[in-house]
Amino acid sequence: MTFGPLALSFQVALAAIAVAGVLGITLAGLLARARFPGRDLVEALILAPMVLPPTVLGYYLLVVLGRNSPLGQAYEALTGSPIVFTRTGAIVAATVAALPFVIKSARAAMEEVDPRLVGAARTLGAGALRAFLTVVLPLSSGGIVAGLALGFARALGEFGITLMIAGNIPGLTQTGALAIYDAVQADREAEATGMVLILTALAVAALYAVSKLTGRPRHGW
Amino acid sequence: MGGDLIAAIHVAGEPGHPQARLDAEIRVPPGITVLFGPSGSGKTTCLVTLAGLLRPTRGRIALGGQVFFDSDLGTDVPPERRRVGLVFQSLALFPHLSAEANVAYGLPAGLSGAARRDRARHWLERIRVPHLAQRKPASFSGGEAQRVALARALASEPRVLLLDEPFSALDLELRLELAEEVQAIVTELGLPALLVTHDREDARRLGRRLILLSAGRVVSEGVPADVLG
Repeated sequence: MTFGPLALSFQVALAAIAVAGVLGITLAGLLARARFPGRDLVEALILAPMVLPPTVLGYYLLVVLGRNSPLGQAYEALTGSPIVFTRTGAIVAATVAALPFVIKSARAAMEEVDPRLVGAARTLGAGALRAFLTVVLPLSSGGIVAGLALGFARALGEFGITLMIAGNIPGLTQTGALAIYDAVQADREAEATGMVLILTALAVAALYAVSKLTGRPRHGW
Repeated sequence: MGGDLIAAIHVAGEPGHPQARLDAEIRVPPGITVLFGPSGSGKTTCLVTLAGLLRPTRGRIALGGQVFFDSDLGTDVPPERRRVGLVFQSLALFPHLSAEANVAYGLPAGLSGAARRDRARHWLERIRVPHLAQRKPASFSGGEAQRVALARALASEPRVLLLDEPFSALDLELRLELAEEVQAIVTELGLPALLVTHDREDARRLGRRLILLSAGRVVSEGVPADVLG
């Protein structure tokens, strides 16, 4: 069995959760506090990747980031390499998959924070950003970390979006989930089983961490 | 010090705050003015509006020469620049911070770490809870929490003090003790202070002036004994 694809999954998921973390916490903060017209629609669009078929998401990303799209061409002009069918593409795919999990969990935790605490911070001289960073963030850290763990687990197992925009190129974009598919197709059963068990262990560990972080307080009588 | 707090506030019920209705003109000179009225009369709405946490539909709020809010001029100074010391009824102590860090939160920026600690300690001592410095709010008794909240508001060097039922969780003896301390500090600093209560005895005892609020309107104001009869 080779660890290459699993190591790549791990690298891609780490990079993806870093991007999804920054983006997701920022968007969750805006959704939790700000009121603007069309907020519910924005939220529905942000969470849609949780329920849309990965092929649909992959298709959108190909349209938006492909070599013929303005964004794709700008990126290629800037870096000399396209987004699609590269490792960057695999990271984008994993980020899109992870983002809604981070936002949903972080937003729920932020909405639990008593608005009077934010009000107190404001009257004590803190601007909106300082109140967010020093009161809202630390008090919702459990939910945020849980969202990051869920998003990481989702990114680690990403298959469909990755296949659509990064392909299945051994050594370049072939992550663990894709390598399992290849191994099964080629009757390399032992290899598939090894990777399946390792990915399962990682996912279960992430979910276990989530339940530890969001554990309900025990109520006495 | 800054002079009188003068406000003419109209708050129509908002989507997020349908119960918040207010149509009141008030004046708070240095010293304690009691804002008295039954539940739902608009007392808390009045305080959060003065502090800048709720935007009035229209009106004007000014402290001495500084305008905080004026719907005609389009002025709306954000809460962090009003220097209003607000003590919520729920106290709103930061649960993740020690008493000392709670009190230090509102200290002016630019102080060194040591100076911040000294200043926070000073206020905790002044309000007679220095032993709580390193402890977090979850372990405080009702009276201790109220003292820390008061110390936090005072440490931020407010130019006006707004207290929402600050003694409600205390028994009579502690209530009198803390009320005297607040009175002494307010007098010493020459601060205008607006103290909300729905307790008739507290209203009589604590303020030199009293504003009687009912259904969002000022019904009467003057010396507590006269207004309450």
